Amino acid sequence: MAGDELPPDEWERDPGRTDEESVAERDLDIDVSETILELQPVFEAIAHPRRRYLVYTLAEETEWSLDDLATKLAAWETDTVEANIATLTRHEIYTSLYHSHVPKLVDLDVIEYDDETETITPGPHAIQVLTALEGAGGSLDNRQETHARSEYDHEDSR
Amino acid sequence: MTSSNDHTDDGTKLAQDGNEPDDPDMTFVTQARYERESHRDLTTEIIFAIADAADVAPVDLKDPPLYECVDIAAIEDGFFGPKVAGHTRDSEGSVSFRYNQYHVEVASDGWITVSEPAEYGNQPDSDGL
Repeated sequence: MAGDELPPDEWERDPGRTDEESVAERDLDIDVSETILELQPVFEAIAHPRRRYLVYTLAEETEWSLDDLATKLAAWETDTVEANIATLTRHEIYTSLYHSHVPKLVDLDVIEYDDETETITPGPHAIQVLTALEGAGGSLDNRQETHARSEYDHEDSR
Repeated sequence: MTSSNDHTDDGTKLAQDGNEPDDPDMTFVTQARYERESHRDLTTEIIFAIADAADVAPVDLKDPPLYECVDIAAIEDGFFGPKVAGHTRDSEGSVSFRYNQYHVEVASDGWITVSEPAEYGNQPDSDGL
C-alpha cells in the first residue's frame, strides 16, 4: 500500500477514538461499505439466466409489454429470430416470467410492473444490476450480452 | 389423464405410506412431469398442469401469480439444481402448496400432482366396477 491516505469517514472524526482503533476499523470499513451491502439484490436478481436476459432487455428499451418480452427472451434463449418463435414457446416463457421471474424482480426493486397493462419498466435497482452484468458479462452470458449489445449499438447508430 | 398407470399406482402408494399428507377430501385431477432437460422450467410445467386441471389456457391463469404462493425457482434449485464438481445435489421429498382451490404436490422425481377438494370435481373414481 502506498502512503495515500483514504479520506476519513464521518465517524472516524469521533474524538473518543484512539488512532489505533481508527486504522483498524477503517480497513474493515472498506469491505463492508453500504455500496457492497446494496449488491445483495443484484446478485439475487442475476442468479437465474432468464432474469439476466430480462434485465438485459432494459438496456435496449425501458418499457416492455410482457408479451413482447416473452418473444424477445425466447429468441435470445434459442438463438433464433423473433419471427420464428412458436406460440407455445412464447406462452411457456410468458408463464415463467409472469409467475416467477417478474414478481421476484419486482420484490428486489429491479423492475416495476404495471398489472393493468402488463408492462415492465426499470425499478430503483435496475442500473446497479445492469452495471454488474456489464462487468460480469464476458464470463457469464457472452452470447446474450452480444445479442443485447449488437441491438443496443444498432439503436445508437440510427 | 395422460400419465402411465405405473405412476398413478406409485402416487397412490406414496400416499398410503404416509410420505405425504393424504387428504381424503382431495381428488386427483391431473399430473405432469417436469424434465430438467426440458426448456420448460418448473414454474411453467406447474402452471400448465393447473391450467389443464382448470380447463383454461395457461396464459389466462393469472390470479394469483405462483410466486405469491411459493418460490418455485428456489424449489427448482433444491430438487433439480445443477451438478457441483460432478455431483448432483438432488434432494429427496416433495413440496405441497395450495393454488386457489388446487392442492399441488411437486415431488423430487419430477412428478407434479394436482388435486382439488372433492366437492369441486367428480367424486373419487371407484374403478367403475
